[in-house]
Amino acid sequence: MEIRGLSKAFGHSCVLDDLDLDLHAGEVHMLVGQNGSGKSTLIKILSGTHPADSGAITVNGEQLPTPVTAAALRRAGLAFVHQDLGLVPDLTVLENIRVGRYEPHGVLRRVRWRDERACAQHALDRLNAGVSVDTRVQDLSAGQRALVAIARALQGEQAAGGCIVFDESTQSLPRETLPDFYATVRALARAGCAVLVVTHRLEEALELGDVVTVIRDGSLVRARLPVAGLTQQALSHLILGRELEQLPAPSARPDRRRPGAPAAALHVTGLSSATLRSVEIRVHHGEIVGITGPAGSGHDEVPYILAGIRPDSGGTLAIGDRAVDMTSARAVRAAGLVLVPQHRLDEGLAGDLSALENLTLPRVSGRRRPVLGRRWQRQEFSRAVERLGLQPPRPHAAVTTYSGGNQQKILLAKWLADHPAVLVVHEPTQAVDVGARTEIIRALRDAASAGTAILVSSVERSDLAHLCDRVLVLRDGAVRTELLTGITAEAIADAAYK
Amino acid sequence: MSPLNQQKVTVTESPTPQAADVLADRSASDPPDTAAIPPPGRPVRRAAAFVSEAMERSSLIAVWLAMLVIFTLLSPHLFLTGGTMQTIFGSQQAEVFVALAALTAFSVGEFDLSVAATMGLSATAIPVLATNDHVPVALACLVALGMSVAVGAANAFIVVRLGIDSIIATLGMATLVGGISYGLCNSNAVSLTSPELEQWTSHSLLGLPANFWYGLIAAAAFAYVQHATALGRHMLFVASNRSVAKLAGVRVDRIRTQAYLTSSLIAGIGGLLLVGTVGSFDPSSTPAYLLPALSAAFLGTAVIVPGRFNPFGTVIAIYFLSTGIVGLQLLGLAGWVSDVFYGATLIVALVLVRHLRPMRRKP
Repeated sequence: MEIRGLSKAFGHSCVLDDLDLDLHAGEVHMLVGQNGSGKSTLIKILSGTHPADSGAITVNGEQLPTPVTAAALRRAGLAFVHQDLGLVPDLTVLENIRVGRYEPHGVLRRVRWRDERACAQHALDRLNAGVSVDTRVQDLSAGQRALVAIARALQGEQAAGGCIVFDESTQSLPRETLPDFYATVRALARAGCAVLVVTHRLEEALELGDVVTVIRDGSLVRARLPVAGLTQQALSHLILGRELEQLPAPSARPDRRRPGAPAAALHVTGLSSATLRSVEIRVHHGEIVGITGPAGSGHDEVPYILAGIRPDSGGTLAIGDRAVDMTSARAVRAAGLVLVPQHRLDEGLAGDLSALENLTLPRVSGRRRPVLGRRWQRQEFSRAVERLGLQPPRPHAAVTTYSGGNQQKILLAKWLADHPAVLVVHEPTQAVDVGARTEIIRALRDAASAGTAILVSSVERSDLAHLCDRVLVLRDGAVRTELLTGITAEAIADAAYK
Repeated sequence: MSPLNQQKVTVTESPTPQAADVLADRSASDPPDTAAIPPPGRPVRRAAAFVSEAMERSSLIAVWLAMLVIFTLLSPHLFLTGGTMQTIFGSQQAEVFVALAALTAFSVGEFDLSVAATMGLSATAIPVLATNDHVPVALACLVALGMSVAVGAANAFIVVRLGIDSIIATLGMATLVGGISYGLCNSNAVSLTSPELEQWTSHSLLGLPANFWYGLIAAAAFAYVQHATALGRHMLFVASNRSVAKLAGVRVDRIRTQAYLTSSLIAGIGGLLLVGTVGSFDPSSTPAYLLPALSAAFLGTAVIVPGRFNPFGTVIAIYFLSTGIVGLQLLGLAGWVSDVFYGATLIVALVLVRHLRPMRRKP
């Protein structure tokens, strides 16, 4: 596939500027860039969501029409696996794979289900996926779902000569399934496919790719850079256009567990749910504690149970020296515990409301004056801009008009401005580019220095290593290891998987 | 993802002081009601943004004025007369209250399709109690409002506590309440003679009945709650994303319940004002109040605070619709024209709102 001179502007802002890109069969090509660098727009032009303003896309010598149509994509053998995989959970694997491709027969346009099953099964078999076509997608593991999405993208194409695009597809996959996923992708390339993988994770770019293309602000920074010999640091420099600010390693903090130390800010005992078995967690003021583990270990449930939105769980929660009813979100919040959830736009922010409204929501009640007032809200907003580098500084723009990294900053600022006693964070850097990640980590560390007790649940091991004074590694619903010193990404991985 | 997500987020060396300046400047010399802090840019562009914003906020008003001019030109002797203006502005009170009732539910993300039926119940109960059962009028009014609130409580119980879809639940409730109203009056129109009530509702002030001003007062109170109080902000989040509201400590279910109670109370007051003005009520006319009220609430999102349910937008939309219908009737068009006009205006307005501002709203 060849892309020549592709440009696209929305209103006054030019999102893609004269972009060239070449994909070769048998090669895994990584496309990296910050949030808002134009990666997604490029994919949307390729898949026909947006028309390009100018430029040409050629596949095997044949030019695609503008805007790209579904029929042209199929003819050219170009297929996509999108970020959220695009599966309907309560339909079966068969229905998900064949949707849009049912072959009608005869005058009555009847669908022959036996043929459809055979097609779907064939597509799955090519990937060696041990998945039954009659299973409902919601009953599959995350890894199996990804295979179904790939099978759908690849069906009906000769393996060689085709071209498949993965748009941040690993977002929805548990970390321990990544090696299998990478193996599948490489096998596709070996079979003669041209593979384009869009990602913002540097580790992934270096681990999976053969060549890397970096885009920044809609233009090419470096094309087809061989991965061999490339370091994460060099790559982040290319992506950001500046040196990534290196955060110093967390300084050693006094051991809070010595006798005579003040009571823990957060102390939960007997934490139980369908997955968790009597977990005890203690976080002191000013301390950052990480909690991690493989998928299914229950570490990702802890934040929501603590925040009081999983009523089907048990345990005793104390915040400071007060016992708190863990089944009431309101009681937990009133006691000073706040949650920064993983899913920004589902549980964290109201996407269609403005950044300012989202930012100040926790503090609009409890103000003495009967009228809401604007000045304090605007001050809070400018503080968020200052502390977290929120961009663009437009308080009345809807949250969904911000990039993912900046949405995460709004979400974090919303709760940091509350000066909570306990901050519980789940995957604070998910779908956030390297620059924003540094700013988020720094903001969390600043908050801890100011006395907030922070509990971070994450599978990003290098984040945990950067942030945490202590890391709890869960397995099968119980704390298996507590790392106190020498916290590195490798040490965490060892504890979680070995 | 909306196109704006793709906007370049440039990482400059020091974006923050600049941004803070913009904000500081504005808070120092701020007119009390500014819509947005425009992006830093040339003054010309800022002015252009301000003008387009203002045009967008008032586009429905502009169309309304244009309509007034056209009708005046087409039927100069009939349209621009005191009587016509009385009809347009003096006869829509029940509609204003029913629409504000629907708006109460909409503004917390709920549907209340029983508002018209509740208004009808109140307008039926008062004359039945006062005329047939010889209950004092004031007491009859109180009982009617109590019945209205009871309808709201039933809605809240079914939707909030039992978790039934609000459209289905309140549609069922509308039918149920409509049936009760028929039962109360044995399916006959009922009338009421009460000079006190008439004095309260139709007393003229500045050439328009007290009713008209009650509608404006209700809208102003609504707007105050929406814009100036924590409750208003909480309602916005309950409507937009309940999980977010709940995690922020907002009492989501309490606010939803209160919305249903308030909605029914407002609808009940609408019934009271209607029967006070007209002196009689025919329950078979009840359903005709529902769709115009819903249309007005939606149409109102095109004006004043574009994209959001807002009371003054709703009130303007009602008078906009009634101007159109009265004007068309004066031109000699028959009664069917009102339905065509209501439906067409709503669709056209929403299409325009959606497509004139594709850059700012999430698809």
